[in-house]
Amino acid sequence: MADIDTRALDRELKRGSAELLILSLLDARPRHGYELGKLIHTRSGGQLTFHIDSLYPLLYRLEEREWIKGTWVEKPEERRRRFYKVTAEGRRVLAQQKKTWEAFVEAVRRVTEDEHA
Amino acid sequence: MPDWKAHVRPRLATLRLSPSREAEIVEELSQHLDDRYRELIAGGASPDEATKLALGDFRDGNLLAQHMAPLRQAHAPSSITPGSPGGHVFSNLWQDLRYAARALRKSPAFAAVAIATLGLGIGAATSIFSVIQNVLLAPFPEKGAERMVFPRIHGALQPQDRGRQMFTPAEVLGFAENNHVFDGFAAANGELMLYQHGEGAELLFGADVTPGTFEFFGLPPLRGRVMQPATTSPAPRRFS
Repeated sequence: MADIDTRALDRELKRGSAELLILSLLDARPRHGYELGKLIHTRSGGQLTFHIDSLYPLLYRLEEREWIKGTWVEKPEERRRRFYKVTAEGRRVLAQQKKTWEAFVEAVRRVTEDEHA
Repeated sequence: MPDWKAHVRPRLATLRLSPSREAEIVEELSQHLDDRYRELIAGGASPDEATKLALGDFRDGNLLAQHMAPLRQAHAPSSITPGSPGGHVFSNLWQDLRYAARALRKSPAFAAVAIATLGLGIGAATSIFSVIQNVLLAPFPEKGAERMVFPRIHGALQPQDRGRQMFTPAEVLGFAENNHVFDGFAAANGELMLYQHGEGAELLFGADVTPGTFEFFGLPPLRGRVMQPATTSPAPRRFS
């Protein structure tokens, strides 16, 4: 098992891994903000809800870090929408965050298993 | 359909977003509210209920502005309005230079004409100042040149621009002996001279001068030394 970066873990826990969720969903394909909010809500079984006043500031923060990039896309007969996609730097960060998160989950699992043993 | 922009824009008012960025965010968030509204309507909500529920996504305390405040885009520099009063001269200098560079880059032809005009203007001003400096302000390199006069002697009935500015040796000595006005005087008798050196003889413009002429003009000799009292006769024979 990989060693846990405690500072990264602390950071991730404080943020509730919101960045990880966004980067993971955008890693599959570009999406707009409303779709991201809906996906997080439905896939978490309603446990996680991103309000409009926290979802978009988070997207803009990731964009300023150049982890994601937003682009206005215009289609015929449709209003233009801003789609976000992950950048190369974003993919690198996502891989690191996944690793940290998985290590954390594994550590928790081992501790809880020991308690029940 | 509710006017979502009217609900979004005030929530961004405390941030220093650039106008274009603010317009983008207003549009994006309005679309989000619109999507939510349509979904609620499709789910059977009344327009009023849908509007209320969609706007309910904004929590109390304007969290949108609070979450966006740390972002760089929320601290955009103030837009430059030509002619508007600014702060300190030097605090805006860099901004002014960047604005000028952008404006010139947009219009290369105008930039070329402006630079050529400036160059010609600076050149002309420098030339004119040089002429004024050398002709009017400080026409002579000598020390205290503004206090020097070249006297003219003329008859009592003659106009002031007549007469002569050449004097006999006796007149020069008379000026020197009776001077109570000037700090000093110098007289010279210019003449062409043949100067002989190793490569032959050269015709030069020379002058016999009175003692203290170099000191009078405040100029050091280019070569050799100035006349010493011992080398000068109390009664210059050449003038007698």
